[in-house]
Amino acid sequence: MNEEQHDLEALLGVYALDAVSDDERRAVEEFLIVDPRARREVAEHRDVASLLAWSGTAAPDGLWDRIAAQLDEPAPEMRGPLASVTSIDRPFGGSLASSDRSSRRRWLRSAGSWALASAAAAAVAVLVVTTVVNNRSDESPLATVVAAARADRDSRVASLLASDGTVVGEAIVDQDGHGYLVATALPALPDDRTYQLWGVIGDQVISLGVLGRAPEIEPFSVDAPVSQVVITNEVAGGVVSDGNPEGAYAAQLG
Amino acid sequence: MVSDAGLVLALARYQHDALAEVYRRHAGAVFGLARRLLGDPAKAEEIVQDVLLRLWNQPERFDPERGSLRSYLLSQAHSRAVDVLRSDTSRRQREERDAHRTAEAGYDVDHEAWDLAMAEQVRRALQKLHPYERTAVELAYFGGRTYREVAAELGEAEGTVKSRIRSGLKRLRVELMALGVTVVDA
Repeated sequence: MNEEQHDLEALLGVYALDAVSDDERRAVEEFLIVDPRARREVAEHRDVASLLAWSGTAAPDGLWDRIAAQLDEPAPEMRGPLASVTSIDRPFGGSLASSDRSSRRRWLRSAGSWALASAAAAAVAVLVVTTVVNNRSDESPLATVVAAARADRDSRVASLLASDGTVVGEAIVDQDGHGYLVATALPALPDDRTYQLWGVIGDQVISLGVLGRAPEIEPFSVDAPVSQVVITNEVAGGVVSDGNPEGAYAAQLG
Repeated sequence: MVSDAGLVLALARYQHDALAEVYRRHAGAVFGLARRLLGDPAKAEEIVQDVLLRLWNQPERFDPERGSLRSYLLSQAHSRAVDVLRSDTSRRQREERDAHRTAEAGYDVDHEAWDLAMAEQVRRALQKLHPYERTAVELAYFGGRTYREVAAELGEAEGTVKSRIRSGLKRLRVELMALGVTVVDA
């Protein structure tokens, strides 16, 4: 990528929000014609932006009548089918859809793992850690973000190890404190148990989130330098443990 | 239920009912966004009319390969509202905007409940952004400002603001997933 392309790519976020000058807008639009990856990124930004507008607002009374009055009355000849229309069953259009047809997806609300209450502080197992780089082919938006964080030379990447040294995943924390836990071999827990993620900052252990019984890719945030992340197996539903969770997995980032 | 893409196909065949359904599904969001930007319900109505009539007259401009219909309509509305904003002196009026008008005729209760629930999810996701990312995104998107204006307002470098908006949008996408808004194949 040359410097000009790099500069244009840096404009994609602000372009998607109409926050550029006219000259920049024209330059980005020319760039989009030739760069499908940039088109995909802009579409994703606009999908996110469209969710920001989700306010539960209704259109005013009478507005539809005014619009309907401006429609052509006698139906003209059919203009023919649209060449690129695909079948998309999407109630309310409430989606964050990728522009990539093969991976077009719909966001659904679910009773996600993050709805679980937090558990008690846990014992930390300090384990030997190796750094890995894992080139996953998953093209989901989250996987794409994780791949970018993993590829960033300023990110810290470490294996998540069980007490016997088995690699069960990896932890990635970028320079801005955006973290991702990628669980590749964590055993699924029974319904009454949940994994919980902890961060070790100095001599403190803080909860970074409840992961549910079968986590895969889990984002988290840290506001301070975290030297280690640990996953414990806790009682689900916020029941305070006795400080001795069942097993622990750790990744040394420091 | 007919998909959004199916509705646009019907629009290409001049089916009024299809545009009415598009209106029912999306006009509230388009109006809400325009009013939030402009602070003027009358101008926001003009934006809704403009966007929907443009879809009626030029349905082929919507490419489902490049995002959802809602995203397309809101993007069109945002762009037009920003044009209005930058061409008149109504910025002060935006401070008087009313973000919570009651749902009115033509807007079904289930739809409203879905929108409100989603709005809450989005609000929570926004709170998880770093404050500097959140502020930059909000000033640009809801304030209709250019990134240079945002930078001047925040006293930050333009490149910094540009990066924060981009990273903020990416982060917001991740946070929405973390809050239980998940993606599945459509």
